[in-house]
Amino acid sequence: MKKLFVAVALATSTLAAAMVLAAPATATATSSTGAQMVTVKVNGLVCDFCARSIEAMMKKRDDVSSIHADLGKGEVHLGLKAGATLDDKTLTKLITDSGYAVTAIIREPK
Amino acid sequence: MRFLIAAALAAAPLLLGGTGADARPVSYPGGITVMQELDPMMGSLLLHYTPNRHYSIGGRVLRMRADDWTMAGAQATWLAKRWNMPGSQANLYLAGLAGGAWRDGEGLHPAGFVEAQADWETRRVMVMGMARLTHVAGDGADRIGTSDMQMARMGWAPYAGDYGDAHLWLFAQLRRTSDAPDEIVPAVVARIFYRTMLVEAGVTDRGGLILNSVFRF
Repeated sequence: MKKLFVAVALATSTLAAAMVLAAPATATATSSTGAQMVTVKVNGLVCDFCARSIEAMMKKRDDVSSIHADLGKGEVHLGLKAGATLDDKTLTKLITDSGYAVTAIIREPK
Repeated sequence: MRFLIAAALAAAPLLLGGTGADARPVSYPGGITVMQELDPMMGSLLLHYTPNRHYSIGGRVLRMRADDWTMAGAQATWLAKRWNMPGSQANLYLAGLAGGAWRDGEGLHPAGFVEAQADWETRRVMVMGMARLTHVAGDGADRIGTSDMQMARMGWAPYAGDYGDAHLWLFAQLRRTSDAPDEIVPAVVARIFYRTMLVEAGVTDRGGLILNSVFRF
């Protein structure tokens, strides 16, 4: 049993290290033609590992084309697909479910 | 009475503002997380699922390496409170496990633990702590009984990484268990994480290995 736990620890750590080295670069927000860019100002956004929950939540949606978090400014930048809408209530719920508190939502173009 | 004393000891670090060990034991709705821990006293493997942002449920196996017994069961973790502030976040988690425990080659006994952990972090500073109270029923020759454990950490990030960077944290850690009541074991731990993968490696003052990892899916 002892050896099993040590083996699991070594295996998972090695796997994590390999995945870190092999993982692709993170997506950045880009504006598609006619698409809306949304900046969500949030409190509590200090940790990249935790902020990935926002990315995971947004990736489930068809209307979001890109996501990037600015940890320094406490902002989440979303790119919406052309013609897509994501209302403030839904967006606030998604960010709240991800673990953060929304303080403002800014849309460009409005 | 002994149980109450152990409960008070287990809660002491939290009352003093101490904090936790696991990285985000409650994830996002639909998230699955695997957490593995190894140190000279214990090994642990936890798989949990987060139905909503308030709690997670899963299964855990813990191996008490120093005392040659194992516990396994179902674990629920509740995010009791989260404080989201402009430049920081703090969390208070409560967890419980119900299952069974056994000494090597002996019978299975009902067992469980209750745990509280808390953390506060900015982009460069982190304070974490946890306290756990474990009880295994049974009074036979293979009695395990009640034990408690506390751990506290202070961490510092040498640089404030951006989204998508590999992030490095360095921790000073103190850990105490009632199995060795006069011993508080200091350790240093380095944490590196990238996206949803986190690995920690450290060493105690006695040269014991610490190796933890977290994967989120």
